[in-house]
Amino acid sequence: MLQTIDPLVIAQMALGAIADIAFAIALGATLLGFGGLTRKRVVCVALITWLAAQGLYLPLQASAMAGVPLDEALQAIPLVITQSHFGLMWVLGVAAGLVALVATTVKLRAAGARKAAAGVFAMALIIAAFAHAGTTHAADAGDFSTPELVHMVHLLATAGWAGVVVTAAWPLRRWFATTSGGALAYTTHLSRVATLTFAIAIGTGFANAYRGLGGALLPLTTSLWGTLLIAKLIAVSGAIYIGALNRFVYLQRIRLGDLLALPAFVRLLTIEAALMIVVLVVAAILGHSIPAATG
Amino acid sequence: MKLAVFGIALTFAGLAFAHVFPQKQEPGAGATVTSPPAVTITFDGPLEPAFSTLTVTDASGKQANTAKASVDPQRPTVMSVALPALATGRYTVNWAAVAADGHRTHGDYKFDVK
Repeated sequence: MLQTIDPLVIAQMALGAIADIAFAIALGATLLGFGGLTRKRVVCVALITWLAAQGLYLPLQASAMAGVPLDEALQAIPLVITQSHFGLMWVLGVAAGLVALVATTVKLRAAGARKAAAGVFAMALIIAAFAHAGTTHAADAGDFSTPELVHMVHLLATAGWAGVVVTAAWPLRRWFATTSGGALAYTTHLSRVATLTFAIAIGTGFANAYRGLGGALLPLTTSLWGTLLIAKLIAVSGAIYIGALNRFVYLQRIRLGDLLALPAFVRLLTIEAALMIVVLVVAAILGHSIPAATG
Repeated sequence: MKLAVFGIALTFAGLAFAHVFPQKQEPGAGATVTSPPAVTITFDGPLEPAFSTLTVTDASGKQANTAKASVDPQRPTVMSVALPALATGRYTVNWAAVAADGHRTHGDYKFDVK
């Protein structure tokens, strides 16, 4: 398990976590909809980070798939790209990421053209999520299979949920405070998007779990893998609790004009965002490890 | 809410199952058999033919199979390698399996030829 894991897999976990966080931020910033030029810059940086992570991931994956050391992995890359399902999905994902980057950076004057670019951007993110789902266990059921599509929706929902929270907590934090009307409108919008994406994440999560586990529970307490899963469970619970607290207590106080409520809302949001980062990192670690039950 | 959290945990648990392992091995691990025509392993998920390997070595570590292992195009969970007539002795099967999601697993086991 993790004690004997090789550095290559650790690097894959790290890149996987960076890519997932970047994707979440790109999607989250888009869903938030406020933040002007800052938001646009955040989306760009997130997409470039995501693409860089994909680029660095490929040789590591080629090394892992071909079972050769990293310095020989470059020769395996063409084979990975042309002969494997992972390679196909990698190309699709990177192409979608590049399209999204172009759609978000291109300067358009006409409202219709901007709308079209937004549509292309949204489609590109959906395709990138599909490609990601195609490199998980859901892919074993075949492309465009129900499990894979459910997982794609799940990836989009979890990225949207984590993304709006993380983006609002850090890069777009000051937007809450700059305008008096903005605070209420933005916190309300954030809470709505987070609740919706959370609900979809849970719904598709159940569908995923039903398929993935078939009712078998793992040795949750006897392995490092189980410990990590529990750690993530606690982080998710914490994020849900804080999100609910913000929505049902502090949002109401902001609505009533309580001046102290906004700083409290933002503080809690920061903790929630930190927990989301923990969740994404642990999810990346778990996604690259073998459960104790099967190892 | 507890149920919801449980659901999330299970989801991520499901994702980590993305590694394939042998379900059925012929000959089986530790079996004593007459020279088998092939070694066939059935995995619990589909394999990537270009990256999955199966070799058989004799007690001295020399490769016993001359044919290349292949994944059954009709049943992508099944990988096999044809064997020449084997002399009496202990043989080791080394397998490496790459799943459709790109995850690699590997292992080995021994069987005896009488």
